[in-house]
Amino acid sequence: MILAAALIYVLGHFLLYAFWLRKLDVFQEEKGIFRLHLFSAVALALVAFALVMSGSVETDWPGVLGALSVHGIYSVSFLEVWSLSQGGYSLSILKRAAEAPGLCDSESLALLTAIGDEKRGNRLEALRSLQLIENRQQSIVLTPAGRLCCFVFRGVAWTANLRSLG
Amino acid sequence: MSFPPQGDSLLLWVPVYLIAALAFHVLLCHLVRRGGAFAKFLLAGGTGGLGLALHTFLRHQADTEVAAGLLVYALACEFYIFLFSMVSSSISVSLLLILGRNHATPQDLEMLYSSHGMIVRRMEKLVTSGLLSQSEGGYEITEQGRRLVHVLGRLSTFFGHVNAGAGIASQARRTTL
Repeated sequence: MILAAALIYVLGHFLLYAFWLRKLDVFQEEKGIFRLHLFSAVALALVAFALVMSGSVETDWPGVLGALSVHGIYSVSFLEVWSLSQGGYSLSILKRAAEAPGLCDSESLALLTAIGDEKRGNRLEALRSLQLIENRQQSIVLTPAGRLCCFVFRGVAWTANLRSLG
Repeated sequence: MSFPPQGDSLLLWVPVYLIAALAFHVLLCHLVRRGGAFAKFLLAGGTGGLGLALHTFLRHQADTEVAAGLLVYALACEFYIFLFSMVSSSISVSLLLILGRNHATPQDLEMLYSSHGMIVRRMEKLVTSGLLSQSEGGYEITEQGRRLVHVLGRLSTFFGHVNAGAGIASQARRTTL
């Protein structure tokens, strides 16, 4: 029963977004959309936990786990598609290729180079704001949190044998 | 059903099948040259999922625990795919990995992680994915690439990514003329 309720809940969540929330400015930004899903998942977890502990509804821990997994699959898929459609570097290249086949002209290269420079700068600022990097004298270095992330990402790159990154 | 799961609970087998799928993926990625990491994980994760499903239906009735086990497995697989896709293409992750090897000034980063290098790597991946084709005249978008741009344009409009949506919508109109 709790699984069915979770499915109905995520469907309702999506419909609420589709018909109303997506028109609000706050949910057209990364932070807003991430918080929407995070708070929703936390709310579902709290309600499910409360239901199991109170015994008011017949359910069990696997049901709670399943319900949270349903929301997790929905949120991860949603956020991936949201992020993909936002327009990354690869999409910019594809769009430029559609407009100017060949991509060898100086205008295309200048445009794509400028996009790359901007993205590198923006990402460095984002990493600073997340306290994963910091300035030390003239250099940029990893913080302890940054070193931990680096370790995890290096592990993931190894498992998938990723040679060409970025 | 007690928490944490005990005895022969199906949920205890989920990590086992996940680790097996991950190990299979590592083997495929390191031993098989053809195909990308995503396709290889579809095979590895799919095999693990099939094994888990067979295990559950042979040993358990179809109940909440079975459904939860399969859902947890599916979520973990999706998260792993997200993780290695992000590591593969994220500029932020690449910058972290470069800085993990050596300290760098902003000028060093411009050299170590140049825009030219970014463009070349992206184009190679797009060619491997069949979204761009490479010829003597340079790079051209394939039909698959055009479809993707069109679909992402629609999604961009739905999600309210206005600027990207305007660019792609105008492109979609040009391609139909």
